[in-house]
Amino acid sequence: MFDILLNGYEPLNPILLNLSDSKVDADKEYVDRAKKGDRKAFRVLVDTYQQQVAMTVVSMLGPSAEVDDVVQETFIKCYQSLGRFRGDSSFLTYLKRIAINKSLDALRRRKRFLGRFLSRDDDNKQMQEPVYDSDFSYERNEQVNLVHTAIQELPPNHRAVIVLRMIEGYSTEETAEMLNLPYGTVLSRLSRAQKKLKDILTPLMS
Amino acid sequence: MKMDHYTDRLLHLLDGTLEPDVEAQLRSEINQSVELQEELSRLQALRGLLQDSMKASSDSALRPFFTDRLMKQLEPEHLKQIEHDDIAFFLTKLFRPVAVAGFIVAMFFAVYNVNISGDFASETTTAEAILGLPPVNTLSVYDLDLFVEEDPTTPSSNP
Repeated sequence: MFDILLNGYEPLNPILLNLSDSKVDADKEYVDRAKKGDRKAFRVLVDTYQQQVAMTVVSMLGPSAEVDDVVQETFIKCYQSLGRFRGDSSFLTYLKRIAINKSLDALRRRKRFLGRFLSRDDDNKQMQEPVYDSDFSYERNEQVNLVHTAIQELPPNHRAVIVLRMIEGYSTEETAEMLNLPYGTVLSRLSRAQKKLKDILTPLMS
Repeated sequence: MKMDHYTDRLLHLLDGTLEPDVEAQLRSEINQSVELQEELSRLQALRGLLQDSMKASSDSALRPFFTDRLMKQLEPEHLKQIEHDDIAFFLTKLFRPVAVAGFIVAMFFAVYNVNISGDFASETTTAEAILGLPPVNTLSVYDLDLFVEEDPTTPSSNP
């Protein structure tokens, strides 16, 4: 009976599922060339993965002008530390890990900024710019804004778990490894964050 | 039923990453529990909503020419210097013919002016000859019509 629920359900992790062997091999070749100083090879990697990194950063920070800067910081950090990338995980996973760390740094900077210039009653939602895409209907824009607001309600550490596990589709084990957290901590944060999101977003889910 | 224990397994089911025997057991549990079916449905809807919204936002998150701007930042300083030198070389190359042509034209006019300056009987300095200026001396000033005759019909301001 529950199969009805899964009918027509496409696995929601196209990013990971697209990582076929040939793709991983191609990435490895470009990474090796970039390690040797081939800037064109690194450019190919940037072109290939910028949207996916942007999605991670937008999920963490909400739509704001900072997103472009943080994605740039992510790739710059990646380029500088490319020599330390051993290829144990996929290149995309490596990028995502940097993106999450850079996003958490940006959230800390944001908190310091808010602490300095705004009153304690204001929270970091004020940094979020409302999404308005003229290609979408008013209802759709409102829906996207509400989802962002709900995610911004979560503490940054819970948000990172939700982003990696629910949005990016990494397994719980991979999420724990990427965030350097025990498995149990990821599970409890996931559970609490989901509960909060469900409370806020139930009207949209129905 | 303690749903927290099931959440991760349901997510694994949605990912399709469960072992076959574990998956079969979970499927049979779901078939017997309306609560689990609702939870699976909610989880799937929540995940779809989150991914859909994030995808929509990320499409316009980056400003134009992201790759170009990034690669510019990654350029080593000495490469940037070479690029600046390239621009200077290009400009020099572009304007050299114009400068040479301008110099030749100026020389032509100077020689022409010096040649025709011999036709004037009056005194002409070298600079005037080269620049082609008309000769000016004390006598020639009187030839200039600098004085305006007063109209006798106009009343004078001083009585």
